[in-house]
Amino acid sequence: MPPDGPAEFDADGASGPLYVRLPRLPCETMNAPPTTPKPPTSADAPHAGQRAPSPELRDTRTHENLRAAFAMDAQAVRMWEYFGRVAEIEGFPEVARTFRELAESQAVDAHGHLDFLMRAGEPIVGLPLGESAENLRAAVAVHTHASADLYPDMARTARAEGFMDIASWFDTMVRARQHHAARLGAAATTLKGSPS
Amino acid sequence: MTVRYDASSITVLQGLEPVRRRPAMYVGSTGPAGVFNLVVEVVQNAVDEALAGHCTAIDVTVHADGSVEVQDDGRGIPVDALPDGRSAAEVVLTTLHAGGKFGSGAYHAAGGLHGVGVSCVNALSTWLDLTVQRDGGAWRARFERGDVTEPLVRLLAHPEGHGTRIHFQPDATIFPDAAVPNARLAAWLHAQAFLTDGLTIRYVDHVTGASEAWAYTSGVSGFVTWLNREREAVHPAPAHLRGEAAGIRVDVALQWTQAYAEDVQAWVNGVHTPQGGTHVEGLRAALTRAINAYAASARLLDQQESIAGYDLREGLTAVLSVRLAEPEFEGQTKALLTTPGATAAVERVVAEALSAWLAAHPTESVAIVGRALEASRARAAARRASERARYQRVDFGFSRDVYREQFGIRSSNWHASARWITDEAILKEHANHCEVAPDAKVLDVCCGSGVVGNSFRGKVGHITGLDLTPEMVKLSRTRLDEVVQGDVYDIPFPEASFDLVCNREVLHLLPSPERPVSEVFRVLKPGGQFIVGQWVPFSEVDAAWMFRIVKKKQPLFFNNLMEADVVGLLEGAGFERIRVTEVLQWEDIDTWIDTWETSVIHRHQIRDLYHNAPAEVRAVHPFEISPEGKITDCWRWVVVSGWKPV
Repeated sequence: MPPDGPAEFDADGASGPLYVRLPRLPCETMNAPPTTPKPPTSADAPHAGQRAPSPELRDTRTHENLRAAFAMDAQAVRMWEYFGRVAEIEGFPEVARTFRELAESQAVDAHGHLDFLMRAGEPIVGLPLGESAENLRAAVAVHTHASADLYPDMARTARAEGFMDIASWFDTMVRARQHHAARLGAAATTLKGSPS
Repeated sequence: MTVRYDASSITVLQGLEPVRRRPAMYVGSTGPAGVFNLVVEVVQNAVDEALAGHCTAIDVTVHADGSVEVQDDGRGIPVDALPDGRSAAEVVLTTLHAGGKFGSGAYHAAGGLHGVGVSCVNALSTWLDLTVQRDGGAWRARFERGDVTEPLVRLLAHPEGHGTRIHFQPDATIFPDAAVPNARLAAWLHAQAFLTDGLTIRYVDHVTGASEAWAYTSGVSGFVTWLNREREAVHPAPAHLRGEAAGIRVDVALQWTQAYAEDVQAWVNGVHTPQGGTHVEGLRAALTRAINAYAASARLLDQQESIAGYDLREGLTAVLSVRLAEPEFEGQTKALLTTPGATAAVERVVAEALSAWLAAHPTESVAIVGRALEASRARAAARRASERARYQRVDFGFSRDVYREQFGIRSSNWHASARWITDEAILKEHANHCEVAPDAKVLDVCCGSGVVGNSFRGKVGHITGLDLTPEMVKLSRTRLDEVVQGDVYDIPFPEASFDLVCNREVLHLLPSPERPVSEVFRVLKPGGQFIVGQWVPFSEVDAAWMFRIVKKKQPLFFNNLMEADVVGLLEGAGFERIRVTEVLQWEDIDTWIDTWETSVIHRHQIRDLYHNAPAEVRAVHPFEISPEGKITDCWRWVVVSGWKPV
C-alpha cells in the first residue's frame, strides 16, 4: 500500500515493501552541480511529437514511483537470471526456465519504466536523457558521483561495521566506476559530427 | 542520383562462392577452431562410415606443410555418374548440401554436416586431392579452392580393398593462422576411438612428432576409466548403462571418485556438447531419481530424507553418448543439444538401467550413496565455515579456528591443490629480491609447506617458519630449519629478531592486513628486508570479476588487493625503498576450485564467470578455455620488497 504523504525515501526503510530506498536527486543530496542543467521539457524528449501533452513529471510522486519501479524490476531481471542459473545447477531445469523467461519479460517492463522515466532525466543525478550525447553526459555524471561519493561512503560504512570483505568490494567498485567514467567520457568526445 | 533496386541488384552466388565469402558462417571461425572443424568434417564422414558398419580404420596425418590427410577403409565415395554426366564424388565435393546424409537410408545417426559437408572443406582449401578405391578400381581428382582442376579419372591400378583418401591444405588466405590445433585434434580423435567400438584411429603428426594409435572395445566405460586415471575411485569399475527409447540410443558410463568437482562429458552422434543440453538434463534427473529410490529402499536414508542432485554428482565422472536422427543444436558450434525428446528418453533409459545396476551391485551402491551423504554433510560444514567467516568483526580480525580447519584439511594434498604453490618462477622471484647477508636469519610467515622460505636456501643462514595450522607446521618442518606454531596477528618473536621476513598469498585472506605487516616490521632488525608475494588483478578493469571468482572459491578472501594496495601496506607500516616485480603464472582453475571450501554452486558460478567474462575483462586478463571446457587462467603476481629503516 502506498504511503499517504509525498514519497519519502530517507525513512528507516519502513515506508512500504514496494519502495526501494534511492539516493535523492542532486538538488536534494548533492552540492549543486557547477552548471545546473535545464530541466528537460517534454519538447526536448525524443519522439516528443508522438506524445500527448502531459504535466511535468519531475519531482512528482509518480516520478518517484517510476524510479522505484525501474530499480525494482531492473533488480529483478538480474536476480531471476542468477536464480535461474542456481536452479539449473541444482538440477531443476523447469524452475530455471521459469526464472529465465520471467527475467526476459521483466527486462521489457524495466525498459518500459525507463521510457517514461527518461522524461524527467537520469534517475540518480537528474541530468537530461534522450540522445546519445545527453545519455553519455548523464552516464559520466552517475559514474563520477558513484566513484567520488556513493561507493567511498559505502566502503567507509562497511569498514566501520566490520564487513571488511564488503568494504573491499565497494573499494573495487570505486576504481571500476572511475575507469567506466573515463571510457564514457572518451566515447562522448567521439560524438562530434553526425551519426553514421 | 537514385540507385534502382530491382532484380539487377540481386546477386546469386554460384557454387561454393558463398563459403569462401563467409567462411565463418560455415565452419565457425577463421582461427584455429575453423581449421579444426575442417579436419573434423572429413574425419566425421569416415566415423559415420564406421558407425554404419563399413569402416574399421582411419588414418589421420598432419604433414609438415600443414596439410592434412585422412584415409579410411570405408566403402569409398561413389564415383558413378549422375544424370548430368558428372561423377557423384565430384558433385559431393563441389556442391553445398550434397551427400548421402540428407536422404534417409544410407546413414542412421550421422555426426557429419558439422559445417554443411565436405564441399566446405574443399572450398576453403588451397588444394584438395581425392582418391577413391572401390569396386576393384581406383579414381583420383584434384581441386583448387573448390574448383575442379583435374576431373575424376580412373587410374590404371587395380588395388585390393576400398576406401577414401582426402588430402587437403587449409587455405592460408582464409585462415591466416592455418596451423592445425594439434592437441585439440589428438584429444578429439582419442574420444572418437572410445565412442566408436572397434574402430582403429591412427594419428601421425609431423609437426609435433606425435604418433598414436587408438582402438577400444570398452566404449564409454573405457573413456571414464581413462578420464579417472589419476583420480581415486569410490568403486572399482564404472557402471556401464545402455538402452534405447523414442528412437534415441543412450550409452553412458558412471564412476564416482574422491574429487569434489563433477566431470560430465556429453556427446551427440560423436559431437561433443560441452554446454550439455536436454540429454544431460535427462541424465541428471535419472541419477537423482534412481539413487534416491535405491537409498530409500535399502534404508540408507532417514525418513523423509533425500539427497540433492548436486550432492549426488559431486566427484562423478560420466561419459554420455547419445545417437539420434536429426538432433537439434543451439548455435553453429553445436555446444548445446536442444532436442526436446532427449530429456525423457535419456531419463527413462538411465533410470531403469541404473536402478538395475544398483540392485545388482550392493557394495558399490552403498559406497556411492555414502559418498553423496558425505558431500551433503561437507556442504553443510562449508556453509557454516563461510558463515562464520562472514561474521568476523573488526576488533578481533579473524577466527583462528576457521583458518586452522580449512588449511588443516587442505594440507593433505597441499601441493596438488593448485599450481601456484610450487610454481618455480614465483619462488625464484622471491629469491631474486633477497639482498641480505649470507648468515641472515629468516622468518617465513604463514609458511604453509615451507616452499617460500626454502627458496632462499643457499642465500641465507637460518630459516624459521611460522604457521597457525599444526598440519602445515608438520609439513614445513621437512623443508625449514625450525617451525613454530603461531599467529600472524601476534608474531611470537621479540622485536628485531630477523634479517629477512617473507610471506606469500596471505594478506588478502586477512580482514586487517595492516596488522601482520606491522608485526613483520616489529620483528625485523633495522635494515632488515621484507619480501611479500601476492596475486593481484591486472587492473581496475578485471578487479571486480576476479573478486567474485576468488570470493566464491575462498570464503576467507577479505581484501581485493591491487598492486598499489600492497605497496601502500608496506609504506604504511614504515618500509622504504620499495621494489615491485611481476610474474605471470598459468593456473589450472579446475584443480584450484576442486576443494572442500568451494561449494558446488560456487564452482559452477566460477566456471560461468570465465565463460561469460565481459569483453573489457577479456581485453586485459588472459585465460583459456579448452574445447573440453578446462579453464587455465593467467594470474598476475607481484613480488614486493621493502626495507625497515636503519
